[in-house]
Amino acid sequence: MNTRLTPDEIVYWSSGSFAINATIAFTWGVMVLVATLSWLATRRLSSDERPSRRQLLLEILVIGMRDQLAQIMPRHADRYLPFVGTLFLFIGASNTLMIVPGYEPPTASLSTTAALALSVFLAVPAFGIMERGLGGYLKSYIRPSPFMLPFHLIGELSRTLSLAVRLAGNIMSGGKIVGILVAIAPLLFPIVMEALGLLTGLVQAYIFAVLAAVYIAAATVGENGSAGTDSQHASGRERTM
Amino acid sequence: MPIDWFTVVAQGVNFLILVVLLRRFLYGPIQRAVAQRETRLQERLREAEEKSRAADEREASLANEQAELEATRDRAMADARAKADTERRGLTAAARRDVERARSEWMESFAQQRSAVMAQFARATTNAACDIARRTLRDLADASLEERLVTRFLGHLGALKDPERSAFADAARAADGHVTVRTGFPLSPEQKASLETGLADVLQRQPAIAFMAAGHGENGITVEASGRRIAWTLDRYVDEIQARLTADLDEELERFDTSASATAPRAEARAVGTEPSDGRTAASTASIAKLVPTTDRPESDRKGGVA
Repeated sequence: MNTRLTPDEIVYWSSGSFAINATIAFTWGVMVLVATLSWLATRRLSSDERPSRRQLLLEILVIGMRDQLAQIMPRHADRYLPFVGTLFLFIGASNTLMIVPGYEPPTASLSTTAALALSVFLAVPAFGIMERGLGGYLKSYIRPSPFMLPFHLIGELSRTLSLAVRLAGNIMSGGKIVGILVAIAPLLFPIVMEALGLLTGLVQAYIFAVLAAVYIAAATVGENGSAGTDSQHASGRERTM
Repeated sequence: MPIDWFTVVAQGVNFLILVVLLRRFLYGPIQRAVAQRETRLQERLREAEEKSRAADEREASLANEQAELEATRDRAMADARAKADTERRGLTAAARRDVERARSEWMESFAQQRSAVMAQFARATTNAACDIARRTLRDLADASLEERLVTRFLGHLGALKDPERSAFADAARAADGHVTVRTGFPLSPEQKASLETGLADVLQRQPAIAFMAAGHGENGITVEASGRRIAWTLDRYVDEIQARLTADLDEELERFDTSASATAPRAEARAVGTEPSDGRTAASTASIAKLVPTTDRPESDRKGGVA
């Protein structure tokens, strides 16, 4: 039975404080796989009215993500699609590849999920400042009252922490449960749990991406700005997560 | 669960690299392809809308043209009907005129034919009657027709009433006693003498008689003086036969006219301009032939008379 809690513990190469562990190695694998598939799929795109089935599948995937994003931020879906979509694809691919024997999902590492959460944590103010300017963005922390500033700051940190821990905990726990069940009932039950793990992984990828979109939407929309719809959508989504 | 901060940084860098890669190889191309397709579809939609609008305008224009054509057609049809009606009335009137003219011509021709047939019939009947009378007298009474005619005429002279006798005598007197005797046969000297005697008794003087044998033109004996005549001929018999024949013929023609009138509308419908058919003339001729009397008439109908 695998007794490791995180793939960070599998180190392939190290030099001083630098270490190439399983998390980084499998992340590179996932990156190469996703990037290669993307390149292969899009190298012969056609703008004809009757595209190929492969192109249609890709368009359904990308346009589906954009439409989901558009429900949260209708006017900025295309702008933030690469960031949010990459979150979903990377997490989803990392979790889906769990069915490959010997594969260690990078998302089971708190380091990976923390890195992704920090990316969101840094991207939210960056996008907010890009959209509203530095003053406009900072003013959002003292709305509706300056007394809300500590709560806003705590909220920023806590949601980042929750993003990281939720994803890592779910994936890690899923893997551990499968390992335990393999030891107890090695025949059929682990297969069912693997399938459930795939579903859980995709759901977690969706949750992570949607929450990131909600945070970005909340940061990029002013109080009475034209993107009020974005704010309303973002607030609603955040409450439901 | 420990956090390896080197791994955190590395994973952050890896994620940013992946964002750049996917933006370069996935989102960009897909979004460009979709945008181009959407642009093209919008262009096609715009073209389709323009074509649809043009088609609607064309449809409206065609509808107007069709309405105008239908109105023109209706007017043309109305004009054609009016012209056809006028033409039909003209043709009908012309046909009626032609039929009436043909009928008049036919009636005139028929009258001429009837007159000719009647004259021929009269001659034939007279000749036949004379021949029969001549043979009958010779076979049964050993007498000649001419002798019986002279005798009958002399009896007729003797039976003249006084006014007739006086009138003829005055006429002969006005002609200085010149009297002309016409017969259809040559008279023997004895017969001439008998006639001179009979006329002398009527005129109370000796007349100057000019005998003229006209051959078959006369069917008896006629005496004429200053336009006044005394005659005994077979023409009366012939006239009676002709009168009966004419009456029967007129009755037959009246029936024929009735049936012809019944078929007149059909003839007008055909708007014919031709003469009545030869069959009509043939039918009329047949009717005449049917009405010609045969020799088996009763003897009582063939008695002679004095004109």
